[in-house]
This record gives sequence, structure tokens and C-alpha cells, in this order.
Amino acid sequence: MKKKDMQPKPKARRDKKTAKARLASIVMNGPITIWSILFIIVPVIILAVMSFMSKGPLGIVVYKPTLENYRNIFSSMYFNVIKESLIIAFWTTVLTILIGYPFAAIMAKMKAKTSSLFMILLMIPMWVSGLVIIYSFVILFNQSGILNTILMKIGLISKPLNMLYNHFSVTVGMLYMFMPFSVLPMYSSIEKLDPALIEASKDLGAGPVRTFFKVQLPLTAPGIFAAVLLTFIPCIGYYMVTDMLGGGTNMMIGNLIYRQFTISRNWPFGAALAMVLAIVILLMVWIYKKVGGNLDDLG
Amino acid sequence: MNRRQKKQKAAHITATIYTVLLMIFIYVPVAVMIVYSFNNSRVNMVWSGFTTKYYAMLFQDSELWGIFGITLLVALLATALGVIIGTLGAVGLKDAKFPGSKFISESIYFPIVIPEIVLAVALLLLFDATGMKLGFGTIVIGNTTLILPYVYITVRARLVGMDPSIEEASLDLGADRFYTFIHITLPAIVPGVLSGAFMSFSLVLDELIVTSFLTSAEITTLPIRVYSMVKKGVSPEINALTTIIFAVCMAGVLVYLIRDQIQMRKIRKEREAEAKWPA
Amino acid sequence: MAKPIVSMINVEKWYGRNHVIKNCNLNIMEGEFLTLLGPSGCGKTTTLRMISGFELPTSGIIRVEGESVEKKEPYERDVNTVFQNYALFPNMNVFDNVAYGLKVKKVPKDEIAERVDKMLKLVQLDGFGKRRINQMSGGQKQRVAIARALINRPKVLLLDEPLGALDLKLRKQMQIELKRLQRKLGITFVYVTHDQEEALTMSDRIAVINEGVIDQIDVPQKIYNHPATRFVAGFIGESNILDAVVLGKNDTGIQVGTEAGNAIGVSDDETIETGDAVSIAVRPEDTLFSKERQPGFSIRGVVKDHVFVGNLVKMMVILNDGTEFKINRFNEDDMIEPGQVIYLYWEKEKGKVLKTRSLVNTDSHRDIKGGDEDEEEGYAAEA
Repeated sequence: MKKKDMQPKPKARRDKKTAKARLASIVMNGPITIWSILFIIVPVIILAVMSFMSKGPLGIVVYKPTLENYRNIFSSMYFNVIKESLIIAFWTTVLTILIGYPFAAIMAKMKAKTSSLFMILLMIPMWVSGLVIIYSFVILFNQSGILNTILMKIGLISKPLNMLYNHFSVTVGMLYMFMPFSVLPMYSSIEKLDPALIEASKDLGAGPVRTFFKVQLPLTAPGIFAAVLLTFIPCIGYYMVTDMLGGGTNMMIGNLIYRQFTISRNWPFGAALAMVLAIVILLMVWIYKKVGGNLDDLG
Repeated sequence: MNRRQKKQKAAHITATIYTVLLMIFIYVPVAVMIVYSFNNSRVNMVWSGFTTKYYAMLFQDSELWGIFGITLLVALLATALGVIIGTLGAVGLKDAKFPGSKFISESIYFPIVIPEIVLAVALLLLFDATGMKLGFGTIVIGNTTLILPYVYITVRARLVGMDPSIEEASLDLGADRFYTFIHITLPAIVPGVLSGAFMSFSLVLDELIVTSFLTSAEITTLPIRVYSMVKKGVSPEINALTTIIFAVCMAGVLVYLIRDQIQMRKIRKEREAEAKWPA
Repeated sequence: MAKPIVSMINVEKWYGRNHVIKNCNLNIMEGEFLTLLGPSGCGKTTTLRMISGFELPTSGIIRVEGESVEKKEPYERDVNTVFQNYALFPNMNVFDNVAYGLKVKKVPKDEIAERVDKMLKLVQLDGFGKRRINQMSGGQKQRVAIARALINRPKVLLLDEPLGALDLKLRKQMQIELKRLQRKLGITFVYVTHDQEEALTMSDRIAVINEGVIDQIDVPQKIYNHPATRFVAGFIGESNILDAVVLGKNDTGIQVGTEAGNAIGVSDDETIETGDAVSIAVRPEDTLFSKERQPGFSIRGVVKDHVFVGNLVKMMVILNDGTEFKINRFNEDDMIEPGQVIYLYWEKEKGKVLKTRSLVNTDSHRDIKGGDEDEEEGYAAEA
């Protein structure tokens, strides 16, 4: 009997499978593959292509490649909207973290049962109907609204405060809308923290402040970053809160995009705006993944 | 009381105050929403007397119930589709090695990492380009796409914790793949499937962006109706409806908590009984 | 007993560019306890998984009772597996775990109950049926896994390092019990392990696998006393192995030259010729030493140190070329003080001259026949 050739074959071989195993694979993977090609990948490609087209009269799309849309975005008028969106998204995110992190830390110290109860209590209003509840802020904040009435009754102010239809009301609404969801990743990262590390740091003579900044904060950074993304991503594209509590004076990039597809009927420009938004966010997500974040935590 | 105990007590009080304040921030708007469902005013801005007429109106408002029905139907269909496709996909893609499988599993995350409005716009362009008529079908497709990653992620999280050799053990014992999926894989991932379904369902019920881009004039969902009222002022009728949904949700949580308590007691009893057994 | 129940013929397995199983020819006899032994990553588990059907061979034929199964699903094969981590179904109790295979086959309920009870008795888990899996200890889980695999009355039971997770004492106990079960049921056991002691105590035959090739397949005594390759000599028990060249050969022995000096040994391999590059292996307990050179031997070394390890004394000798050489003795008085110069020798039957890479595997027929004859010896020796 001759000795077989022991040299590694140059071409990589595919895994062998039985016909039934292949059929099972098709049944399992087929639907999700087809769905994500048809309704995720292809639409995004169309969006990218559309963003390079130009607008004809009456909102007809002219299929002639141009960079005009992207140039337009950086013109002062639209750029202001983007700046505005970024500012509101930024403050919402900062406030979300500042308010949400301590609560996540408090929850992490609770018994598992109690903390999950508070988690539910935190999220239920958003689950039920964020929109209707957000409208409560109009009732609370308007000139003759509940808050102004109370404040005037107890004599803290003499004439009603302007709380509605400005950055303040929009930010509060956004905060209300997105904070509950961002507490979860911060909670799970704090909860996973080994208490021995905190003890060790204190044992080595570090004060509570130092321990917090040198040990706890860096170790829970992925959770914080996930919370940042969970707030920033929806916030920047969300136009309902701005519509309800911004009263048309504040416009966010989401409103601008919405307009291109309704009033202005400038689809290519809307597509370009959406592309810019997507690219900025994907860049952030890419950084998040680079620093060790898990996409699953954004679910 | 020594210094350490004092410190701990102070920390505990601070934590309690903080929690109470946060709950006030979350629940004051909810309370306002509920209270104003009893407000005797067409335009719901200022209080003008107590009434329950909007609840009565609500039960007679066939248009609103129609909208509510459509919203439920969209949520049910999208959730069912998303759960079936997402669960199968999560199980299948776990160890799939077909060309492009990695790209597909990455692309599933797209709807959650980009703002909803981008997905909405992209889908609108797709339906426009393919000449598909906007309406019920397109809303269901859009919402299914939106929730697919949530189902995929929650199911995958369960799969990671599952011992893959139990599936092999089942095949080894003579069960084919379908039997194995139903009797072994599914029971192991069912908590993930359920939480994915629950998340998806509540997400779609409240979904506005994708729906408003992909709907036609004839099809309205509850969030769209609410949103269209925003400028005129939300009618107390909507508040009444939301109050009812809220109450149902709270009741659901309560039932869940009580059932949990009973189950815990049962397990504790079982453990005690076992302790008495000879080892 | 002479009938092969599983045959692997020219089986090859590639993972991408990795050639994990290289032209495997293996016959597993009806009723035997065969162990696939080798270091981790040698391909022993892959071989087992190809028999159970979780991996398909890239090429080659696998027969179970003469029927080709290499394209069949795991659930179409009459073999069952005991998994490394037990792989018990967490959502079922002990009874349902064991009953699973019968339920799949739609066996009537009362027959299931009867057979499961009998099986639980067999693995000494009488009355544990209602227990949940997470309430069982490691050893108990192992018994459940065995019961679950045996209930289908498989022709062959495959065991993938089933005792790896147990502590030493429990492992010893389970080894004896597994052997008892196998004798009682008469089912063929194919056992994968990297633990040579386990292999030597339990097996009727051992197949030593090295980098995807079966280096040697034989009864434990033969594997230990007559290693076919340098790898087997090194992997089973302790051996001193020196690179060598054949200087001459006659009816009684083979003269070899090493870097450290000359020595004499024997070989089962008749193809060895003068001038061949070989290895010579000798066990520490078989190595003799004296102050003077012995005829045919010229390996000289300096005693480095010796240590007492309970039942024996280990002495380390540094040879002329710098290699370390181990010698074991049962009596401390036999030892020599460090720093002394000694000459090493051995009875020439104890020095095994081995080709560096054996071709044994390509000649499977001889192996099987050899294995057969030796099996009788194996049983006799153990009885």
C-alpha cells in the first residue's frame, strides 16, 4: 500500500454536511438572510444612491449624480439645524448619564428582586405610551400650567416662567423619553463590578472620590458608553419631542429629514441628511466596538 | 452609633431621597396624564372640572377602536414575524458558515445602531423604487425590520448560555432536527424569545417614525392619531385610553410579581423537603 | 468476537486547511473496549464524532455492522454517545432524560417506565427518577448520561472523556464501574481519553493517535512493552529516548550509535537496515548502570542528583552530549552519589529501536489480526 501524500492541499475545503443538515440550515437562515438583504441592506444601498441624485421640479427625482446635496448640508441654514440637534442630543445625553448613573449604582446595591421592580417602574411609562405622557409636559409647563400655577401660589415667582417651547422643555422631554432605557446597561456594568476591587482600592488608602474615578468609573465605562449611544442615537433622529415641546421654534435633524419627505419633497436631500446622520452614528458605534463594547448591550 | 454606621445611614437616606425624586420625575407626567383623562375640556391644556364622559365616549368611539385594532394587529403581526424570523435566525446563524453569514449577522444590528428615521427613509425609498403601495403591508414590514434585532439579541443571549452539546445529545438519541428544535432548543431559549416578543410588541404599539413614513392616508395607528392631535391639543379621550392601557400593564406587572412570590415560596418548600431526604 | 462492528476505511478529515485525520483505517471489534488515546488536538475526538455522525469525513468509508453510515445523520446511526460534560437536558428530570431516546421512538408509555427503571437500577440510581438535573452531583450526572445513552440499546457506545470532570477518587471508582457495565452488557465501548493510566486500566485495546495518525493499536501490555513508534514510547509511561543510527544488525539485536555513545536494542520492525536513522527508547526502571563499560554499550554519564518520591527513587544522569537520562529504582541503597561517573546499559530486549515515524497505519490488516490474538491474552491477564 502506498503512503498517501501528506502535503496540505492548497485549497481550503468547505465543511461537509448531509443534505438534511443543509436543509435545516436553509430553513433557519433563509428567512433572516432574505429579510435582512431585502429590507436592510438593499434599502440602505438605495438610500446611499438617492443621496447623490438631484431634485427636479415638483419634487421629482432626477437621476443625475451630484454632490450638491452634501454641499447643501454644510450651508449655514441647515448646518444650524445640525448644530442645534447636536447640542440638544449632547445635553440630553450628559443629563441622562449624570442622573441615570447614580440611580444605576443605587439599584446595583439593592436586592435583585427590588432592583428589577424599579427597572420595571422606570420603563413602564415609556412602554405604555411615551407620546401621550410627553404631552403631559405641555400641561405641566405652559404659561397657565400646573407648574407655573404652583410656583406663583407659593410666591416663588411673580409672573409665569417661560418653560415651554424652548431648549429646556425639549431637553426635559428627551430626558424623560430616553433615560429609562439607558439605565439598564449602566446598571448591569456596575452590578458586574467585583466589590473586592472597590474594597481593595479603599484598603490601599484611596478615598471614596479617588476610588470612584480611578476604579469604578473606568471599569464601568463600557456600560456608560452603551448608555450614551442608547440616548444619543434615538435622540438625534427623534422629531416628535421637538414638535410637541419645541413648538416649531427648535428644529432637529429628524424634523429636517421628515420635512424633505413631506412638505419640501426633496427626497435626495433628505437621503443625504439621513446618510450623514447614519455615518456619524456608525462612527460612534465603531469607536464603541473598538473600546470593547458589545452591540448586544444596545438591544 | 459610630462614624461608619452614621456614614452608612447617611448614604442610605441619600439613596432613598434620590430614588423618590427620580420616581417623582417619572410619575408626575403619568399622574397628570391620568388626572387629565377626567378633565372636562375638549382641548386638554387647562383643568376645567371633573368628568368621566371621555371614558364613556371612548367606549362608543368606533373610529378610535378601529385605530386601536389596527395598531394591535400591526403589533401582533410584526411581533410574530420578528419572533419567528429572529429566533430561527439566531439559532441558525450561531454556527452558520455559509459565505456572507457574518455580514448578514452584522447587518441585523443595523436597525438599532442607526436612528429609526434613517431606516424609515431607506424603506420608503425601497417601496417607492419597487412600486409597492404604502399601507398596512409596508407598516408591518417596517416594524418587523425594526424589532428583528431585539428578538435576535435576546434569543442569542440565551443561546450563549446554552450547552451546545445538548442539541447533539438529542440527535444522538435518535431525534431529528425538528424534534430537537421543539423539545430541546426551544425550551432552553424560551425566556429569551418571550422577552424579545414582549419588547417587540410594546415597541411596535408605540412606534411612530417608521409607521408614519410607511403608512398611507387610509391606515392610521394610535401613535399617529395621537401625534396628529399634538398641535390642536390631545383630547382627554386619548388620555383615557392610555390610562386604561397603563392600568392593564400595571396589573400585568402585579400578577407577575405575585406569581413570582408564589413560585419562590414553592421552591423554598421543595428545598426544605429535600434537605430532609437522605443524600 | 472476531467480527468488526465499526470499520473506518481510508478516512480523511480536513478542517479548512487543517488535515486532522490522515488516512485512518480502524476496525473496532464486537464487544471490545477500545480506547482512543492521544494528547489534546490529536484527532481522537474528531474520530469519535465521525463515528457518531456529528462530523462527516472529507473522504473515506465508515461502516457500522457492515452498513455504510458516513453520509447518515447522527439520529440514523445505531451508536450512542456519552458526552464530556454529560450534556443532560436541563429542562427535564432524570427519568425524562433517560426516557428521551424511547420517547423519540414512540415506545409505549408502560414499556418506557419499565425500561427506564431497569436502566436506573443498572447505573445505581434507583429512585432518582424525579430529581432535577441541577440537584445531581457530578458522579450522578455521569450515571444519568450513561443510562440515557444505553437505553436505546446501541451497538456501540461512544464515550468522549466522560470522567474528565470528576475528581480522582470518583474517577477511579467510575473506571471500575464502566468496565463492569461493559462486561455485563457486552456492548462495544469506544472510549476517548488523554489519560494513559485510564486507558491502560480499562481497555481491551488501545489506539494511540498522534497528529491525526494511529501510531499503534494493540492490547495495553503490548502498547506499554512494545511501543511501535517513538511517540508511543514517549507518551505511554516514562521513557528515555535517544536519536540514533543503526550500526549493525544480527539475529539477537541491533547495534546503534547515539551522540552519547553506543547501545544495543531490539525491534519488532523487520524493515530496519544498517544506516537507518532511528530512536532507541528505554524505560527508567529498565536502565542498569555500573562503574565499568559493558559489552556493546558505551553510554557514559555523570550523576546529577536523585530524589525520593515515595515508592521509588529517581536518579538523573547527564550524558556526554548533555541529554538528561532518567533512572528509577525501588531501593535508595542502589543509588550513586551525585558527581560520580557511570556507564549505562540494559538487557537488549529492553532497548526498543524505533523508526522515527511508523508506517504501521498503512498496514491495518496486520494490526487487526494482531489485535485479535492479543485480545485473548488481554482478557486472560485481567481475569
